[in-house]
Amino acid sequence: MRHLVSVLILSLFLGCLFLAPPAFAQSAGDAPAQAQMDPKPLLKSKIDAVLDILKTDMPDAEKRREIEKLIDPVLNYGLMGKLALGPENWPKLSEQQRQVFIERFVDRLKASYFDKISMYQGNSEARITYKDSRTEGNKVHVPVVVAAADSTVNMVYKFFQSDSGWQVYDVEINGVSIVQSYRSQFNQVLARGSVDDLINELKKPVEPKKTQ
Amino acid sequence: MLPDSPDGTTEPAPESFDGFGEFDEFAEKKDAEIFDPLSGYNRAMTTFNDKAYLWVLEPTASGYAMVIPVVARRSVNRFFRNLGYPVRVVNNVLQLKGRPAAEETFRFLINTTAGIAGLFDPAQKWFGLEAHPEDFGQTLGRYGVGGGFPIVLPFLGPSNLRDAIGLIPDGYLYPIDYLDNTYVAVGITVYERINFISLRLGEYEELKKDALDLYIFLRDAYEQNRKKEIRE
Repeated sequence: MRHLVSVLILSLFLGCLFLAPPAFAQSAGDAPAQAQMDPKPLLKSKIDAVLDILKTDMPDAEKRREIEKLIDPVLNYGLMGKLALGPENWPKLSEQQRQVFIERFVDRLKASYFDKISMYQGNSEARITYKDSRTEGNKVHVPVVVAAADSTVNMVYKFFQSDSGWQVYDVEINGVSIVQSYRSQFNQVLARGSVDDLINELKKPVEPKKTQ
Repeated sequence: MLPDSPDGTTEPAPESFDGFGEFDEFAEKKDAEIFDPLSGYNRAMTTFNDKAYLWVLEPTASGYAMVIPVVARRSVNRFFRNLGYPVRVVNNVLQLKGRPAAEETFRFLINTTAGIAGLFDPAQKWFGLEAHPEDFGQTLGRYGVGGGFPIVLPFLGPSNLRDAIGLIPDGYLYPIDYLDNTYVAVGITVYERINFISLRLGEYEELKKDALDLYIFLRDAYEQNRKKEIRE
């Protein structure tokens, strides 16, 4: 049974965004987000632009800054953190705890995200296919298939309509939702400990951790 | 960057956690309600698997990867995948998935012949025929059998009662399991595994960085992934 490995491998999350396909050579035009009924063109333009940045010779730190500039407006990290905590746990946090929590959650997401970029920027064999968007209530989910030599990854970018246009509130990789994954773990930490314990857990550097 | 009221577009709910109603897709049952009678064993086995992977399997695979070129390792991987055809076709048929079963069969015929015993994948390259992996756990899930409780299997990782039981009938459909000599069969299985890992060096560590609690993280990821596989 290869499920452990498939789940593991296939869940390599945001990084898969950066499997660089050779076919895309065009540039980073920002689609007029608000006007679009479908966030797919926006997503595609962002991914293309990120791939272009990865292909340049800029130093890593600079690449990171450029990429952050591109994706920060369309990835709602704060909402992701709030959703990951969930409606039952969110009210348990004081205003100040919320700020610290979100700050650390965002740091964590970004750190993990950029680690994965550096790992994947070498892969130039992947083919990216954008499937038809699905409307789910007032949200739109865009499935993206990333086919590389050794595995195919099915991703779903989930958008909602914010004040500033379409924004991503969750990403799914082979059925594994980032928000859901964090929520399960946060629930676990909060079932055993306090909010401060959770915030401390998040503060720890992103690195391998024992199970107990 | 702080969340400056990201849900400003919706009417604020009376509670302080305004906007959650709009994202009720995550309102799954809480961990406390997940029936996990083996959690003590499961955690210990997760730690064991983690060490076995990081200290033994991956170092072995990485040494192997230094000697054998990636092209060859991909072919080996395809060879073993081709042997998984009986499992896939039977489970596709059991789930009444006619077209996928037919495509699997064409894939097997083409790849076993033109693809030289499955070392290559002309079915995908020339005819665009994709694989349709299905196993008995998925077949059971398709017919409404729930996962039961989580079980972490030695070396294989997270699973649940249903999928662990499903390994038995699938084993009867896997040619390697029919080898007379058990040592040879185990040796081949280990080799298959090492080869597979050699194509994914470093990915597990990368993934693990996102875990606050490795056992819960893997258990949850496994269940989410299986739900999706069963749905499709």
